Amino acid sequence: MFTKVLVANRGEIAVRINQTLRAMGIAPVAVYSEPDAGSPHVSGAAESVALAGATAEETYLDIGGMVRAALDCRAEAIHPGYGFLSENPALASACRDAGIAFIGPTPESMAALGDKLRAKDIAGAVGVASVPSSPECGPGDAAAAEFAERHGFPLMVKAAAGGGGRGMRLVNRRQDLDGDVELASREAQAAFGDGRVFLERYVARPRHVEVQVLSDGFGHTVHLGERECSIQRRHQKIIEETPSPALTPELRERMGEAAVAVARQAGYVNAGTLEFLLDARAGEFYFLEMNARLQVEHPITEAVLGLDLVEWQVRIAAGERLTLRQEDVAPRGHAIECRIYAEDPYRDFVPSTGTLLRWRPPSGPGLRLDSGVVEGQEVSIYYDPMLAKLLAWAPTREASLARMEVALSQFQALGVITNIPLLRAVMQHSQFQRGEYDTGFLEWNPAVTRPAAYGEARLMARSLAAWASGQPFESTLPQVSGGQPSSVSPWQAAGARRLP
Amino acid sequence: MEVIGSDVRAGDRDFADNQARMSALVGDLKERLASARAGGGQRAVELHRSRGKLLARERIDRLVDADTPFLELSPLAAWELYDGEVPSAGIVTGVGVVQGKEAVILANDATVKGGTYYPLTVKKHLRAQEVALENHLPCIYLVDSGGAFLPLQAEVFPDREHFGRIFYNQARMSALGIPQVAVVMGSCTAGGAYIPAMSDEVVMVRQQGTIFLGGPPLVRAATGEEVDPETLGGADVHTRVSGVADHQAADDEDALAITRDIVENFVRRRDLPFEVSAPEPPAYDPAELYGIVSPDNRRQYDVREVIARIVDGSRFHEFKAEYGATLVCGFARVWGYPVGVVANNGVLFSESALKGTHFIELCSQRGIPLLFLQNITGFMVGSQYEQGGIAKDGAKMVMAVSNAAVPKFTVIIGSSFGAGNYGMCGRAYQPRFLWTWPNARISVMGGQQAAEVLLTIRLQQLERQGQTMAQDEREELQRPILEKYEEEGDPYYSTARLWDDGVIDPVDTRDVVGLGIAASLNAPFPEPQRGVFRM
Amino acid sequence: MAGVRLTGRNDFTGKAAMTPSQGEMRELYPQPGEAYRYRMEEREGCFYFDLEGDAPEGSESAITLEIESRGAGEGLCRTESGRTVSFSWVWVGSELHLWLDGALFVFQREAPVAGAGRRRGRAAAGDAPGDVLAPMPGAVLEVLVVEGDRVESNQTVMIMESMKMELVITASRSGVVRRVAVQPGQQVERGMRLLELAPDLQPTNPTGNGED
Repeated sequence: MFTKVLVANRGEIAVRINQTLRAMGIAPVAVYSEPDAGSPHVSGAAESVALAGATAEETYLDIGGMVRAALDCRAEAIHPGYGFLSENPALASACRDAGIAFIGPTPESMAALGDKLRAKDIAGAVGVASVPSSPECGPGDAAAAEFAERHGFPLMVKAAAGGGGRGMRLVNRRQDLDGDVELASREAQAAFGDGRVFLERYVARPRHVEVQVLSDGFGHTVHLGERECSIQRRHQKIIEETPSPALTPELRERMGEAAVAVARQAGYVNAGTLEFLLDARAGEFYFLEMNARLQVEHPITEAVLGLDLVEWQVRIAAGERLTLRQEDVAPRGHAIECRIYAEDPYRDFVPSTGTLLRWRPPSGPGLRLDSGVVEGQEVSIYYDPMLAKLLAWAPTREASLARMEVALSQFQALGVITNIPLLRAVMQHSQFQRGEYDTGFLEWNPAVTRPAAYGEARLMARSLAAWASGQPFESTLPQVSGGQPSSVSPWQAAGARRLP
Repeated sequence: MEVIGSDVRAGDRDFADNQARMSALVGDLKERLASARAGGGQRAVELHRSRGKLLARERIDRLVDADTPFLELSPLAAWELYDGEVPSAGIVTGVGVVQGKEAVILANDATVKGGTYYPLTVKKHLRAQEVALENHLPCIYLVDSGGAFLPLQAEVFPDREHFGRIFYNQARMSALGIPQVAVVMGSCTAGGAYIPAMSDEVVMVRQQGTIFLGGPPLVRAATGEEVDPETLGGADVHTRVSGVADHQAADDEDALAITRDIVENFVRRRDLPFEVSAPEPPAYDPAELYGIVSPDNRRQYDVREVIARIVDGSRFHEFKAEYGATLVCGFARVWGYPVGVVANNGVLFSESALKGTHFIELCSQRGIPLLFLQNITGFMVGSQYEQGGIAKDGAKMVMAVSNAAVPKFTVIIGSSFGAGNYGMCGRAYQPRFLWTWPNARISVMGGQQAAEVLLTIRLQQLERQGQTMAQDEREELQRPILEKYEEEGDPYYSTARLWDDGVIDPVDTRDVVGLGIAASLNAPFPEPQRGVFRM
Repeated sequence: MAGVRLTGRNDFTGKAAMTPSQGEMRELYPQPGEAYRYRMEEREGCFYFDLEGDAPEGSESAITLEIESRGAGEGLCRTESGRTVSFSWVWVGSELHLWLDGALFVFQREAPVAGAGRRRGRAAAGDAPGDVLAPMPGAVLEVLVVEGDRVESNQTVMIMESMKMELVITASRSGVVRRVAVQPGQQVERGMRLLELAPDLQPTNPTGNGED
């Protein structure tokens, strides 16, 4: 087993990985950019290495710097977390070249799965269908027209190298086809430096369900059940739950088997997630892509299975055998996760920056908080605005939703605007409570993204605001020595500073 | 007094945009300051340290009282001049507190070209002495300099404001009872020897400081005498034999401790000219200045938003609010000290100039220091305004500013163009301190206007010859002007040439102004006098 | 107008600050709203708030709240029906961020002064003439309203350029744009009419009549 592991990430995931490493008796090494110097992921590590610069490009995306940091502190392995370099085969290769273990799949399978078209071929080879799609095409291509002919409209245009909704367009009419293909290609070029696009059949009101798999280096693969991730804003998940209210036991088994088959076909080692598009009414599911890393929402799987996925990742990377058998995988109860973002749900989800002047997360039975921030921390423009993930577990779905709703109502986060009110509104929504929802939930229910008519609460708020503003002024700014009796020269009171 | 109301919304689109751009400008400023403060580079620093010497800024840190600020003057002097090889012009100057007393400290940086005096080194030295003279602050010279930079001797030695002026100033200040102390921590050769020699008290570091009119090579050339520097002019010689110095120190630390003892025995009598109230931070976050002020100086904002983030409790008693509205005048406090604020809120009209004149007279009469927040594109032009006598009204303001008998402080927070610069107490009008924000532009007029004026004149010439000019020719004619104004209007171009006392982070404005006012109170206010106002 | 009766025990720490006071607040979040003025006074051991401004939808005209300060920006609030809710707040510059029982509200503190007019050195809004005039010669850069638009007092209606500066032209009072008298690019003289405003005919101002 390793004695020291570098965590090539920041925020809540780095904090969470540190926890597991420490529990395993491994010393975690943190890396940090200049604005992150005081962050919890640094203070929670055994050692830390500063990366020069503030932007992600200069720091958490710098492969050479990351490998050098690991070599300098003699870490035996790198855990990439999610995002940043986690799915970049170049880091995995660089680790291999430097003789450092990479906690994740091989660069080869990562590269294969990273290309959406190649990933679909792999799935197709074991009989797992993808949403019917065309070969790569450009505006005016015969291939595009032919595909449209066969599958009809509406259709999706997608970027071959893409993700996160960029370079993705819905084509409603034949006459828009060429124009939309061209626009998507241009967007893809701008976003990924790769303008290749393809067409795909449009699945109406789909659900987004993913399956967690775990494989060791000895050919043993298990799936760990599904996660329902259909509540999304701007194509990004905000609420996830397991088990999915949409799956029958039969469908669950089919999807699990499909996931294992694809992972085997890809020669996949370590933890990975297969994302599927589910047409719940038709009982059909289509392979979307495989994420060759730990997922943001992995804790809900941990909650219902009572295991630690990061621990398994580390063990597998250290060459241990996966001792978990498929028949041992027996989920218990229901878990749901809400992502707390510093963003304004009522103004198009614009990120909100500022200082977290008050940060009092809830606690109680069945709750887990994975957080990368502390009270007083600056929320900057440099990184993803996710502050924390709040998880609730209970024996039944109804009970875990109720726990989540109460916990959200007690979550005090002040200083930046957060999406907590939106998350609460979803918890209270009858469609959501019935489990009848799809990826278009927020678009179909625009009321959720509008502030509630608070009524009496607003009157109370106005009174309390007036009252609070009469309370002794508590400046949240650093006080420049005010309040001295009289006649204090700034030369005595301004402290040791070099000006300008 | 009333608290200024604020319309600023931190969530506004412009706010975020301004904030991002101003943050970038301030980031750039901090980088430049850090680079200037690195001195003469790693090798020179290591060599300096290997001799057991402290760096100039370390010497200052050990000289001043613990936990007190140091207000450095023009740290970016000589920026990008002399091929960028003379950071901070090779001398660190500023105001700091020694034994509870504010003092001007001048420290040669021997890691920069051996601490020799370039033309701008001289200018910076003289400016620090001027600060000392105007505010009656003792001068402490931490000397470690090879004297004048000889290749540029013609620009350093002969003129009125050149090297000799340093000693003249020492003599005049000594006469006025402003103490002059020299600490010889390196060489003081030739002219440099007069810095200690002209001082009231001199400390010398053994085996390190030397004072002589001619160094060993010169002596050998002149008389054939072979002599080592220590025998020629070391601490031992000067404290025991010649009497050029008064105190001998073992090393830098010891010398600075002795200097602190010297300052401890200065007697200072300072009667405050007014009552000072308890300082109070502004009611609004000064960091919001980043979002309020557009780095595009054409964009207008209410200058009261800026005042609200500088003055105590954001309280402001405005004078003549409804008259001449493009100039905002009023009373406030900064760090408990009373100030009269004069701030631009648009172009100056006759009414605004008259109001400014009235207000400046008022402050001068009452003995209230003046704070000018300068963001001025100029006086209004056009026949209607010329006939209304805007020239004489502008002149009244310049007259009042020039003769105001109170300390004046100027911060250029935006544009500083043309006669507006004069009326708003530009560098020529002797503000005690003048600071610049990193978004400032300083020139006789805006670059675009200058280019248009030039083009109009050229077109008129051509027209007389029956010719005209194609569009691309016009642009070609204007381009060099635009580029020149762009370059020369830059605040770093200004500060490099000592046209200000430093470029500051807008957030620090309140503290810097407070320190300036406090320092200025060491000198008594003169009796108000006034010139002839053209009516 | 909504009255809020605040009661409190004698020992509650808010007491010291509960001297009769008044001020103006504006809700910024979640719904940007009109400014409201409040006045607080003590009568027979109870503190009364008078809130002026639009009563929020569905609100009662008067409620009684018992506030208990917990110090350090926290408190408890009890309603007449006996419901107890906790709240907390922080200041972000001049913005008050209030967490009340799971919901976030942001208020802006307006200047605690007598009249809105005196505060910015502007003429009192009610006395301002309806039309917007050019304050100096220059060119119109942008017109931000069209005829028929309702504008608020101090709302930016136009941008001019003069003497190398962009000049923000604001409405001197609220009303409806009757006529836009200039176009972008047009040169204007000082004092020229840029915009004609018809007086406000909001129901909250029943004394206003149709024409000036």
